[in-house]
Amino acid sequence: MSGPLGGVPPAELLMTVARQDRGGCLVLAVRGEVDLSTGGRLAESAGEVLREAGSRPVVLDMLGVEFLSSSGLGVLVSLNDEARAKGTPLRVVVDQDRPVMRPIRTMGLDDVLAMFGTVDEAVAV
Amino acid sequence: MAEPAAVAGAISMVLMADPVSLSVVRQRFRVWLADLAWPDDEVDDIVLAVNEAVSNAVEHADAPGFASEVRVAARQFSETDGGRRIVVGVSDNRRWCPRDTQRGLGMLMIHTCMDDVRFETNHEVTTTLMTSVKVPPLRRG
Repeated sequence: MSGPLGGVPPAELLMTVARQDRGGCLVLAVRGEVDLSTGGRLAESAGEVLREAGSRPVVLDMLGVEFLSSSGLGVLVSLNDEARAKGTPLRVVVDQDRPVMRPIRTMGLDDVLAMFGTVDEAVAV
Repeated sequence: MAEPAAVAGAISMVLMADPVSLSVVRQRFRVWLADLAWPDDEVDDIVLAVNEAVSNAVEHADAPGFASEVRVAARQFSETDGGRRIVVGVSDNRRWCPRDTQRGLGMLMIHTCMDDVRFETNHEVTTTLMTSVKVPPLRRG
């Protein structure tokens, strides 16, 4: 990859967000890396879904996330606060063995967020 | 006679003070630490801490992008028992106070992922100096 930024992958390749309606839930699948460059886009997409959801649960599928920074954690906390204020259930799906779990545990967010190991479990609640 | 390919014990880079630099610095550290046969969990911790330190520098830059730079340098060192550590310095061209930063979560992450963290301010440069946890000596077959 070359170009004016010298091998910097564009932010839209670094993180992708895909939405799907499943079992009465709005599922937002996030893939890639969530950091200072992509966190804003996650906040926007997920915020939009939260506003649409009403009383339907929103499932944030983070199984495909390979890196999560403190800015990403900040986004998760604000989304969780917003969902709670609206009365929309927000469920976060994270692979317990992936490096993403480390920052979540470090900040004690595993006690704050409704966490699930698979999308099936999160949808079936 | 050709020497066996030596693993570089140090890396350094100059990045523009922009969020797009973060994925570059993470990738560079992952490749370098893999060459040093660093254990996976400790690689994740170092990459997390470096990412947060560079994020701090980016957020404190006066003019993000090409006008400001972040310098990152790291090297491996061995202690007398053979255990290895990485020391990383992240510098930006702005004087700021680590205690006043809005990035409290990022600071907490740096302190959690590293054994030692200190900040140095000289003239218009703020440097975050981080020392990783110790990992076992490298055993070559």
